[in-house]
Amino acid sequence: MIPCCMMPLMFAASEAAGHVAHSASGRGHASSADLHNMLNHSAQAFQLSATHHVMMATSAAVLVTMTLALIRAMAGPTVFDRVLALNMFGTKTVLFICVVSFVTARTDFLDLALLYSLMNFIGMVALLRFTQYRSFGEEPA
Amino acid sequence: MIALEIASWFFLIAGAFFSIVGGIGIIRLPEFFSRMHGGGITDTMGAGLILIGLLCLAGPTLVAAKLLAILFFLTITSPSSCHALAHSALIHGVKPELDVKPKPNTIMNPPYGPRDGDAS
Repeated sequence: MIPCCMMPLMFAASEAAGHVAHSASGRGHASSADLHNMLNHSAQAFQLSATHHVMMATSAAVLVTMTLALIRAMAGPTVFDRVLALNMFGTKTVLFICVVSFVTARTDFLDLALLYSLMNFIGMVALLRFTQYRSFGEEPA
Repeated sequence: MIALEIASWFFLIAGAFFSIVGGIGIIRLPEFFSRMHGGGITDTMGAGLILIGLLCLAGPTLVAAKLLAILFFLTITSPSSCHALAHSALIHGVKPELDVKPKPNTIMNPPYGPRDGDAS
């Protein structure tokens, strides 16, 4: 759980890094003392609530499910098992983007999730059409 | 506000539970049409509960509208893609097998050989 907990700290640190680099007077880059102060400050400013922990546990569960779907996609005996597992992987990716956008408070990632869900559907229909007709054309061969 | 957060915890944890259950199902179930059931669990219960849990956190904003749009498109596209997959599998001759007993020590090897519609 420790690397998962470090993720919002990293995002907060990157935002704080932009702030420090903007306010550093005269010098081109931040020194290591500046970096140390910045990390301490961001760790104090960013407090993880219980909701963050629940959302990180949910994202970990979604990652576990994505791993299981990839195992089935590699081991599935028929091509339809692989297509099913890839469809499930795409849906879980949409969910993962949604949960991570709420964890890191960057809710503009939801546009990417919406786009990915539509692309997943179109890609799967195209793949099924290819396995049915052996071509992407309009007329069945 | 606290009630909404506690409701969101409940929905998120329930969604994570159903997501993992569907993942175990897609690994362990013995043949293709029963594996589609595992995929359907994650598409309906997992995605629906997690998105409802995030909706409880979002409040009446544009973010909630985007989440509702994602939920709407998932509920439209997931059953249709599942239907197309089952139809395509039936056309290719994958028959549902009843009363299959999984072999005790082979998790990943289903108890039937290669059939029509096999990848290789």
